[in-house]
Amino acid sequence: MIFRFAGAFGTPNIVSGDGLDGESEKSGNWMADGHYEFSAYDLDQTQYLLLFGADLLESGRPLSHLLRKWGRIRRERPNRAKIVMVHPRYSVTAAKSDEWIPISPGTEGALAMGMAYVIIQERLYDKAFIERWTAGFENYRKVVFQYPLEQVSRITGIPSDTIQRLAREFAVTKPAIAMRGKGSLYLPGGSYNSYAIHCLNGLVGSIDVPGGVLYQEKPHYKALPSIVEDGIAKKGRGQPPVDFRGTERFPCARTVTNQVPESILEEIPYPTEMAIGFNCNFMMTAPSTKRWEEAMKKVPFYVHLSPFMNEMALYADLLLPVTTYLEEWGYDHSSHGAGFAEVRIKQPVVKPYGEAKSSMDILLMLAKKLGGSIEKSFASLGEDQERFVQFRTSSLMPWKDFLAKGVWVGPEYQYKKYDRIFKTPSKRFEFSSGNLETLFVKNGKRRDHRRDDRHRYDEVRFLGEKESYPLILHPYQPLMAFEHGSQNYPWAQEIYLPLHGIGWNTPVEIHSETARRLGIREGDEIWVESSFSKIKARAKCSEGLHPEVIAIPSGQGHYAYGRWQKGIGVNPNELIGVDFDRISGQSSYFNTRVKVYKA
Amino acid sequence: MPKWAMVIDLDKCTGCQACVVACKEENNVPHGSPEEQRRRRDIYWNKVIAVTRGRYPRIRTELIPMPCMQCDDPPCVTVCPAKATYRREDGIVIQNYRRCIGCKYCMVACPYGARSFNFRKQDEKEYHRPDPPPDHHSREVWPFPVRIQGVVEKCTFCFHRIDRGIRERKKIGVEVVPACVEACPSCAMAFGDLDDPTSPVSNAFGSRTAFRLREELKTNPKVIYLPR
Amino acid sequence: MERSYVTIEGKSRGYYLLVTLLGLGSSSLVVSFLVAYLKGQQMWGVSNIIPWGQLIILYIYFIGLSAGAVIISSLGYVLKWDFYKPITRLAVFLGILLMVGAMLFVFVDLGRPEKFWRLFGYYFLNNMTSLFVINSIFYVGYITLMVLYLWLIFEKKKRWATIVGTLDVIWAVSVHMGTGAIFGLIGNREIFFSPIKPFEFLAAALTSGTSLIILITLGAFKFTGRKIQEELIFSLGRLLSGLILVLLILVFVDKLTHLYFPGRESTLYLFTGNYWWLFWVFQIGMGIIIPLFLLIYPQTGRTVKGVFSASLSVMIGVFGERAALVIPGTAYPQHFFPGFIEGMWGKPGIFPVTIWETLLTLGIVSYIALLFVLGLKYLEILPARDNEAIAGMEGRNPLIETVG
Repeated sequence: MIFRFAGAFGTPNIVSGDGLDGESEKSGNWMADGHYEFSAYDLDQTQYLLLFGADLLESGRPLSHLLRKWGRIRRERPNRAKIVMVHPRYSVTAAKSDEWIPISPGTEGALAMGMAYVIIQERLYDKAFIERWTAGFENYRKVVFQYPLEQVSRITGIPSDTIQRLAREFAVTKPAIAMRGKGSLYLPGGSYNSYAIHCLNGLVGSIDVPGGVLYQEKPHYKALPSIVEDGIAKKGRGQPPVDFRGTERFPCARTVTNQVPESILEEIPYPTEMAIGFNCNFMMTAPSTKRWEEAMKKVPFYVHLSPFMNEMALYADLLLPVTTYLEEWGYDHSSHGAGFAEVRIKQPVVKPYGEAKSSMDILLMLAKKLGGSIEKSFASLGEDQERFVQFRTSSLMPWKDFLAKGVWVGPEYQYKKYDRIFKTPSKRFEFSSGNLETLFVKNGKRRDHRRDDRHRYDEVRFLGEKESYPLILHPYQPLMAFEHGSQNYPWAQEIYLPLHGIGWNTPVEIHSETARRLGIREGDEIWVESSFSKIKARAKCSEGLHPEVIAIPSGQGHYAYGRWQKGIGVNPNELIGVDFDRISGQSSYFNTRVKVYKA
Repeated sequence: MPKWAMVIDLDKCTGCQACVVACKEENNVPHGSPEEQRRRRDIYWNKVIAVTRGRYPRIRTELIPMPCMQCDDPPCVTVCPAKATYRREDGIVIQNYRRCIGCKYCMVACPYGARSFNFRKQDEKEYHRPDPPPDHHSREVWPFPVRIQGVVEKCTFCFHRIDRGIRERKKIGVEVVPACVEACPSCAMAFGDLDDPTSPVSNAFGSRTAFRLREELKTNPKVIYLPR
Repeated sequence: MERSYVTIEGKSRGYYLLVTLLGLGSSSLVVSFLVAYLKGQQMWGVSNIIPWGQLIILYIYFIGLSAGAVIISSLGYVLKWDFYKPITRLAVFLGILLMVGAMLFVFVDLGRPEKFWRLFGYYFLNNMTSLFVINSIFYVGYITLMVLYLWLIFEKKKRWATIVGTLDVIWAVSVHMGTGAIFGLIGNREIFFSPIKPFEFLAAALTSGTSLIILITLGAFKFTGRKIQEELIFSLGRLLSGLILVLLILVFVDKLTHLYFPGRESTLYLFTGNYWWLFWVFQIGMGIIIPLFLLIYPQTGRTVKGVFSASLSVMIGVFGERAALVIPGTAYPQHFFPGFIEGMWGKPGIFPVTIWETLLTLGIVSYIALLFVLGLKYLEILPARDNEAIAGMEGRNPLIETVG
């Protein structure tokens, strides 16, 4: 609805929080098979999960699905699945996995190359799949052979025989899935990391097979009539977007969330006069929160819609209360679930509080008030949210049945749809990305034919000099902070970090040896300083951390929520500098260097 | 007479703590405040502990949910002077708030730290079930919706659910389970009758790898763990 | 020659001042109890990890003092050592009051004090395996016996007094061993768990009881202008040193056993953890080492000042011993699973000294002291002043003769 409104109104500037949230996974997929979306996985039948920083049990999506499947693949089948976690931090997921492989932060792409090297060299790849349904394998092999084991071992810090063993296990245990997560994706080279890891799936033939990577079927909602555009809207839509997506800065991106503060502050490509925020809180969740604060101060008129007070709402000139999921009508589907299409509707079970209305209702009212082409664009969709949901889902199931059942499930998932699933120039899974090549050509970038740079592992570009800032910041999202909404729940706050037995606080996790070297003891108050900001918190000495990494859980440090979050903890996102994965526009979270000293 | 026991499969457990929160919701257990946690006064009927062994990089942390173990030979029952805690025939160790005098001897004696004391009167708002207590059949125990200050409380295997389920002739362990078992997203917990050879509990108990906590103290706990 | 006992006049300014001060202290008892009753035990230092605090420490301390005092008093009537007769009434009276004090401590420590009667239901309402119940049987009988004993002494029924006194002494031993068993039989707390806890408690009771008798005798005689019977004090001092040696042996054996497996870690925590000073400075230092030196070393052992200092040291030291049992015993985190337990579940507990709990403690202590001081005025406890010539010379001092 928001997209529709923006289209009818005439602004190209829809910025979603997705730019903070895994866009590089999508671009990596797009490079391989043309699907610019998250991967779905057939977890029910998989036998081996290799997690590259994928915090499934802490902040993976879809959360309940992953939690349920974890239990299922462990002990509800005759063969127990093996799960290996490659991550700089011993997270809850790593604690529950079979193996934790600590890796130097940001080097997951190199590991993927190293594993590919072993698999290709020992001919453990799925020959049939590669011959018939992939393209660019030879180029891929050439690139991969530039990453022999010793080099990869040096880069990642993982012993060569471990890499070899992992690669063999991954290739031989069928079906296996390599999953990507924040740690490997939220970096300047995130898209390439994502691509390299996804190619591992292709290498062992785990594409669209039982127990492998799936292509989520989408439900076919009733088509919306086209937007009615008037002259103003047309002109508005033709303007360059404020987040520079699709431009040379971010050629492939669909949304570049963290570009917005800079655009607002420097008034590029044009000054922003008004903004509407739908339940966003970029002050806390985006890197370099101070920039957001300055940017929002600058916007002359800001309207914020959210169910409860949050930091971004503090900057609103007009604050509209919206309903929560229990008070409104809606429809939803998993963007990456179990493969088959499904749609669920939300029915209100509680009367809305006070004047709260749902976002949908607000947009419909707004459209009516604005009149003209905008009103026409929203005319035949139903007068209110309930009618709209009914309209939209009318192609799936009669409304009465929907109300009774609540869920529509599509046909069973069909595997091995190789003839029609790949959206690439060669219509196959591409080890040398044709999509990327097309993009380069479109942007006039000259290809260096001596070096195939459609696959690369670059050393991570860290923000901050190594000499002054020797440690690397790793801000992670624990389960109780998932979706950043739970800080005002005392039930969540008191059990915040089960792995450390700590609640109501933000500890700074530091490796025991590193702490000893710096003269820091358990519980000491320390400053963590990057070249952008500094925060103070208590140290927690841990053995479950790469020696060069400082891990800080995010989600605390709120100042606008309510009484249960006041003065609790600090927000590590303040420390992070602004950096992007250029291809997808994904904000980088894990490439900031910090230094630590006693307070 | 059934003998209720619980199995927690640590391999399936995801450390999400849904069991901790579901228990609080079901039994009207209040949350604590930062000050209370600092002073160790917050109440947990079910808690998740993390136990670490080893050094980097060969480190291993177990996340272990710990409800009340409902021991067959409970040290808390042995030491309670007022018979406020006693073991029912079906194996559940009951806490009777009417009789409890708050001497805290049971808290000292419990090897699993399962018991918590009410250090203050709870505000109305911290309870989220202002409705009357669930149906109870026996006059013996009254699961107060609001526990008064000065008594000890602990996990009860949601005996109110079980008793009602038995009255309504439902299958315990399948249709009726304690709140934590119901809430677990990965189905890592199971509940059932140890005397019933078909229940998952007896399966687990006889399994090669099953263990219980602090078995050397011979309290015969009835929460059985399956390791990773 | 018959000794006569008199009440004190109790009309001096010092006396009135003392009564006023103690009265104020007792009022703090009422106030702090009300505060705790209305606001809950959150006002105190106790927590889910250290559920027993100052009040339980003082409870076992007072029972120890009471039992010790009565057993010392038995030297007068039961063993027929007339040398010690002057202090018997004092000791028994103190014993009664200290028991009442201990009961008060338990009463206010309960989460629901209005249900205290549930402790006395025996066989009908109570669980007889619980040591609290067994102890309550002991305590009721003990107080009854002591009151009877004192009454018999007042009525000068010597033969009956001796019989009841003997019974009382045996009962006192059971009382305090029962109190020790409250802790000694708890298997999961390694610092508590020991079969000789009852004996340790008894030894601590005897030493602290003796010290209390010495201190009260010195105090009462001094402030009422009676001549201090030096021989009596020295004899008690010698007795004290013997008792401290016994205590030392028992503590040593207990800790040595615990330094072997299992339970070693808990003892190491006691020795080196955050409450190490309760054990080393108070229990060992002030409770055993300093008084032993003071008493054995003849320069000090044969002076009243020396014995006084030693007694004071023992009083503080044994209080520390009780605290060193209750606080670290429960502060030591339980090991649910082998390994290092992270976060709050694995950290040793901390017991802060809070103002309301301290006021309550001081209030009860003042109240008992007030009762004692008033008792001196209205009951014939102290020996008459003109008996001083006889005091100390009457009869043979068995201790001097046997120990030499």
